[in-house]
Amino acid sequence: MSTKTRYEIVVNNNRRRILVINEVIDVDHEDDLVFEDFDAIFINVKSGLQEHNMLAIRMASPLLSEKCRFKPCYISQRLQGWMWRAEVITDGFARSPLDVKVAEGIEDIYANMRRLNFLLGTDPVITHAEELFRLCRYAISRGLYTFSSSPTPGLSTGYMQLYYYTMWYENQELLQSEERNYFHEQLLKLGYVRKTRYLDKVHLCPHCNKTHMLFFECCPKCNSSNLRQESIIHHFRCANISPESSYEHDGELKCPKCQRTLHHIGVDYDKPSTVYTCNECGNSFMYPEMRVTCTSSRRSFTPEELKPYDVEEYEFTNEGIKAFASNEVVRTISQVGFYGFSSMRDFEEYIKDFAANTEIYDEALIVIRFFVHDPIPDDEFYYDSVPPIVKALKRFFNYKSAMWGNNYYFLHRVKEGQIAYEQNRMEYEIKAEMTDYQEQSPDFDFMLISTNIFNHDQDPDQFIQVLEEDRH
Amino acid sequence: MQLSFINFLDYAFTVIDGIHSCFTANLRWSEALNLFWFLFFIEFPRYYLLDIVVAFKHNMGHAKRNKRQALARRQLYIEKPLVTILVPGKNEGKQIYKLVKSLSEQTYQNYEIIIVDDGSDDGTQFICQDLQKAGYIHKFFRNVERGGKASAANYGAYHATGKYIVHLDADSSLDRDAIEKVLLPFYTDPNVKAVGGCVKVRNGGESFCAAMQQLEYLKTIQIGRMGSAMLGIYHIVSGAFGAFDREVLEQVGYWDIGPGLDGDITQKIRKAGYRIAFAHDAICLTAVPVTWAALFNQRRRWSKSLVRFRVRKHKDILRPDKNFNFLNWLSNMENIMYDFYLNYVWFFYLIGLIFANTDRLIEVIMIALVVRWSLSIVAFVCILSVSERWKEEKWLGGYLLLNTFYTGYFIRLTRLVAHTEELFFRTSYKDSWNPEKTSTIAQLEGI
Repeated sequence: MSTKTRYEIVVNNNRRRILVINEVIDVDHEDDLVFEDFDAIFINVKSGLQEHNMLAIRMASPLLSEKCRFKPCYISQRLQGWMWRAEVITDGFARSPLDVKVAEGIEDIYANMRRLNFLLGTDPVITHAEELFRLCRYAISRGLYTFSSSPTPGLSTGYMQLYYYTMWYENQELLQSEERNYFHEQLLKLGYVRKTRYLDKVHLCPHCNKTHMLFFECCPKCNSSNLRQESIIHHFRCANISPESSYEHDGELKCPKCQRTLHHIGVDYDKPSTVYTCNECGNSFMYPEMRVTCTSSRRSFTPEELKPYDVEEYEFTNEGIKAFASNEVVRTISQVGFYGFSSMRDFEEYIKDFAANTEIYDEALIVIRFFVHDPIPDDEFYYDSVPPIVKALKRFFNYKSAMWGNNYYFLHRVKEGQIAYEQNRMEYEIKAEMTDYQEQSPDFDFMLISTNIFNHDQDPDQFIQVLEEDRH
Repeated sequence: MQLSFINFLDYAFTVIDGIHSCFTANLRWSEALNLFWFLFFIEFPRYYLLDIVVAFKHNMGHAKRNKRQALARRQLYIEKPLVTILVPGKNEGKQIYKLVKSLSEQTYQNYEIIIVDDGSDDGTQFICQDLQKAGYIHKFFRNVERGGKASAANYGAYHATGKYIVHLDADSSLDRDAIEKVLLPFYTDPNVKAVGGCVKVRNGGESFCAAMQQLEYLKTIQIGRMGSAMLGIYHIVSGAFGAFDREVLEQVGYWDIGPGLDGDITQKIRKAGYRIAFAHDAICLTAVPVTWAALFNQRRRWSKSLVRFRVRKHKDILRPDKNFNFLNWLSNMENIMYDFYLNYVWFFYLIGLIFANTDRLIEVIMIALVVRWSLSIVAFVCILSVSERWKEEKWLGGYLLLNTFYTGYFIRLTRLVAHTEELFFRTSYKDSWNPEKTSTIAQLEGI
């Protein structure tokens, strides 16, 4: 066989064109490839590096890639077991792209999409909400109306749940939990999903909402887990009662009080309990305390402090399936509550919602406004959005961002005591991201215009007016 | 009917006449002394004269005592030693919260609380675990199988870290300054290694029986132990409230199998050559049995320990050998004489008295009653003069007349039964107060 090309298109018996990817390529940026060129994807990358293999599928993801959206995606049999979490967005493994199994699978998926009148759509994924919509649409296109709920390592609640599928990085998954809840509540309200069963009550770290915890038995006095457990011996004759080690004498048990030898358990002695002794502080106790340390936040808690959380299984209703298939959800679901990139209107709505919420009283919003000159022409704009913003938002999950013309807004919700610290950090980090980008594309320019703090005493309309001043 | 009433009236007049005549010519003083020799020559010096002396000395020595206490107190607060409060018990969960709350009111605050649960079968374990989590209790241990009070106390004492161990019953409650006061004697005399607290009755108002015990505790514990401490023969640190030097406790091997382990440990400390003090002003209130049957059982158990420990286990104190100590001998001897030997003497004396005076029995009883009553009034005045809360206790004066029947007959007969049982049948080894496994061994070993 000759040397492999980076990618090729093969046609199977059903006349379906399959894009075979032999090396990691960025499908969306391959100028020779267009959406209409192929019907399915077969990933044939066989790198020794797992990350490499995963990157290949990420670049041709039916979720994230525009050219591959919702297309069946198969992976070489040899990568089975090496795809880790990426496995959930593949349709199967096969020896070759012309396998019968692949052909059947492709037909099934297309048949299902036809049956649902599935609209492929051409909207780019820019906002977080759109990412979530696409995830749900993907699931529906595959006939996955109920998400599997088996315990899965690495996920925050320990369970693979609804709307978790896009998650590539651990942080990314967790960081959007608030948004996910917001999204979920809307789906429930609209009757798009319904609860099928209750699974489990899990306990989350109250600080970071994860279930990745280590449990320790430890000393109630000094919290050390360096403990030694020992039986207590009660010598009936003299009522001496002390740890077993105090009796040990030349391989015999000898009472430290009356010096007699103990012969028979139940007759002249018994062991009524066990006692823990702390090797660090010497404290003795019967019931060690449980301490839980969260591996993510590195904080320690008592089991009572953990946050109980019900894991439930949901499925899409018929209305939900219809709405997602026809992409109607874009209109029916509000995107205001999402972090990440949003429209300016949603951005302002978010500030108003925050002001109207009387339950939040010790938090404030920091809004930073940049003026940005970006030379990228508008038609290339759709996928990458503004690179420094995308990058910043990936790192700082709970920033919300919007733009109006050349004005870029970043919003961050913080506790009142941390305003100064967070503000400095935000200004510094975003500036750094933009500077990094400036080095790559020298035409890019930016300027920090203002930083505004919003708290509950202020009038939201006035605040928004301030934000909009001198906008051009 | 009519006739019997007349007969009764007739008899009543005879009685009144009899009482009247005994103060006139019928019974001379010499004859009365002869008749009531037990009262005048045995009981009076020990139980009445001593009280009068104690009360007199106490009330004369206020200034000196206050000065000594102030000095000791200063020393206590300079050193501020950690005190272990040890509370062994079974099924006492409900009392523990009240106890720890009352302890948090103490003037002396450098203490650790150790609760030992001796195989409770109720919720005690969970109550204590919760209290420990909440920080009210510092250490909590549990015998899953009951091992007896001594083993429970030893279990806790083994893990104690304080310089002094204060032993409490779970149903005790303390005056706010009780812990401080019970520690002071350690600082007035360095040779004092155990201090008994003054135990009083909390539930005296609950029944007649409890009221009688309240009176009795005042007499035998507060002023009684002040007297024996004055003579240097104080021989029992109450289990309900007592303080010990931890090192000395360790030296004597902590507690041995009871019943009566509080008396036993006091004996052991005395034998080791240390002094025992009584803190009359360190007040602990305790709940006493409210029914006569419960009281009878409790006293029977207590009294048996006299035979078991003082007459049998610690009889070496009475022998003149190289360890002989006169005060220890006297202390044991006094206890054995008054509570054990003279109790039998009293019994036969009583029978003799009855048979010798069948013709004037009512008269004799009445005279005895009146004499005892008047002596009790004197003793009661002495009690009130040393009590720190005499205003709350003076109502007990109304019960003085009946006290004769209580201490004079009930307690003595109870003792008589108990001593005879223990002497001939060793019934204390069958008492369910201790688990069978330990009693069996104790009887085999004769301890």
